[in-house]
Amino acid sequence: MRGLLWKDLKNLKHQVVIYAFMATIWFIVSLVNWDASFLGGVLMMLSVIMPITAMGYDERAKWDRYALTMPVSRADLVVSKYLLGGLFTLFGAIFTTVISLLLTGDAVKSLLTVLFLFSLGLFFLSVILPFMFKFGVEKGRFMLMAIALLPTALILFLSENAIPSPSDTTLMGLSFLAPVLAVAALAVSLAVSLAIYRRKEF
Amino acid sequence: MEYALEVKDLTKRYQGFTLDHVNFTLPSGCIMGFIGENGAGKSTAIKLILDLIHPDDGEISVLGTSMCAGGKQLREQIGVVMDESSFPDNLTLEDIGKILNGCYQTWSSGRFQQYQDKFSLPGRKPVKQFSRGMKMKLAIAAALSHNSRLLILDEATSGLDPIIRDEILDEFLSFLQDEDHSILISSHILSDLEKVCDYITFLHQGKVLFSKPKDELMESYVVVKCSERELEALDPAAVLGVRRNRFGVEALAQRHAVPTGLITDPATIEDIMLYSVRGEKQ
Repeated sequence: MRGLLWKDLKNLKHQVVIYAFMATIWFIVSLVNWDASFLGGVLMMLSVIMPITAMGYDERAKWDRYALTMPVSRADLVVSKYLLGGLFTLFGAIFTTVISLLLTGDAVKSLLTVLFLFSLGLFFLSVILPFMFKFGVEKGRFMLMAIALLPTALILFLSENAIPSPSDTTLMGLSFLAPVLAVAALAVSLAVSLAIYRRKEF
Repeated sequence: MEYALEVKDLTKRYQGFTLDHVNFTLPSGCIMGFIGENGAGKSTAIKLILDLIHPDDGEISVLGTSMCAGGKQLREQIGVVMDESSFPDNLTLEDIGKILNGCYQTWSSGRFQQYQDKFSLPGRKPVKQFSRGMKMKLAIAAALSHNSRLLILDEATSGLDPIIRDEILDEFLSFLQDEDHSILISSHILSDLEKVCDYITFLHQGKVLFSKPKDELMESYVVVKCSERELEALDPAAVLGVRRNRFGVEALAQRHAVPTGLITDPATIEDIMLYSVRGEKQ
C-alpha cells in the first residue's frame, strides 16, 4: 500500500503543483472577499479529480496488470485510490477550515461550510470511482461529466418548481448530517468497487 | 521432479478464440521457450498463469501452489516482464526503486542499483524518455531485484537489437545458475530461444502442438531435401510437413525414418514451427 500511494503521489507531481497554485490563487481571492467557501469548492473539486487522474496514468501504462503480479492484491489497488482521494480531500478540508477561521473567526460557520463542501466531494468520489473501475478512465470520463451535471439539473428542477429553499436550521442540520451520509456512501462505493475489480480481467 | 510451473487442461473461451486444454510442465532450474504465431494464445496463457484473467477450466500450479492460494508470499518469488514497460511515464528510475521497495518485502535496493549501473540506466530521467531497450532493461532489473525464483517474460526481447538481446539473454543464463530458478519466456525470436532454452512449448491456434526438451526436438527432426519420388518412399506418419519449390521438395521428417543417402539439414526450431503450421501434409 505504501508503494502504491507513493507511486500515485510521484505520478501526480505536476497536479500537486497545480493544486498548490490553485490553493494560493483562491486563498488570495478569499482574502479579498473575506470568504473561504470558493477556496473550499475549488480544492474539493481538485481533490476528487486526483485519484481519477492517477487512474488515467495507470491505465495508459497498463500498470494494474503489472502491479497484480507483484505482492499487491486487487483490494490493495482499489483501496489505494480511495485513500488517495481521501488524503487530498482531508488536506483540502483542513486547509480551508484554517483559512476560513482566520478570515471570519466564526468557527461554526467555517466548519459547516467545509463539512458540507467536502462531504459533497466524497459523495462525488463514491459515485464516480466504481464507474472508473468498471469502464476505465477513458470511457468513464463521459460518465463523470454526466454525473457532474446531475446536481445542476436537480437544483434547476427545484427552482423551476418553486420549491422553497430550506431554512437556515435545516441547512445546518444537513451540513452535520452530510459527513455521515458521505462516509456511508464511501463504504457502499468501496464494496461495489472491490466486487467489480475482483472480477476484472486484464 | 520438482516443477516451477504445472499447467493442466487450461482452458479459456473467448468469442472466436479458445485456449484449449493446454498442458505443459516446466521443471525447476530450467528455461522454457513459449512459441507460436501471433494470436496463438501465448499471452492469454501467461495472463492465466499470472491470475490476471480467470480460466474456464483447468489447473495451474506455480512454484508448487496456486496463484490464488499463494497470495503475496508467492508473488515475492515471481518476476514478470511484460511486452511493454508497465511503469507510468512520469516516474524516474529512482521513483520506481522507492515504489517497488514499498511493494516487495524482499526488495534489494543494492541489487537494483547494480543493475542500473550495469545497464547504464539514467536515474533521474522520466521513463517516457527511455528507449524501448532501456524500458525493457528497467523491467528486467525490477524483475531480478527481489527474491525471484521464477521469471515469466512475455515478448521481453522483441523489438530490441541483437546486442541488447544478447546482453539480456546472458542475464537470464546467470539467473539460471541457481538450480532453484526457472524461466518461462515467450518470444518470436526463435534463434534466441534456441540459444538458451531447455524446453520448447509450441502453441498453435490455442492448442499445444508439442512441449518437449529442445535437444530432443532438434535431434528427432531433420529437413530432408529430395525429389517427389524419394518423398513418397518416406513413411507419411514420420513427415511433419512438406514445402515444394522449383528444385524439388523439402520436408521436415523424423530423423529415424529418413534413409541414409538423402540430403538432410539439421532442423531448427524455426523449421519445426514453420513446417508444422505452413507446410503441406504429404
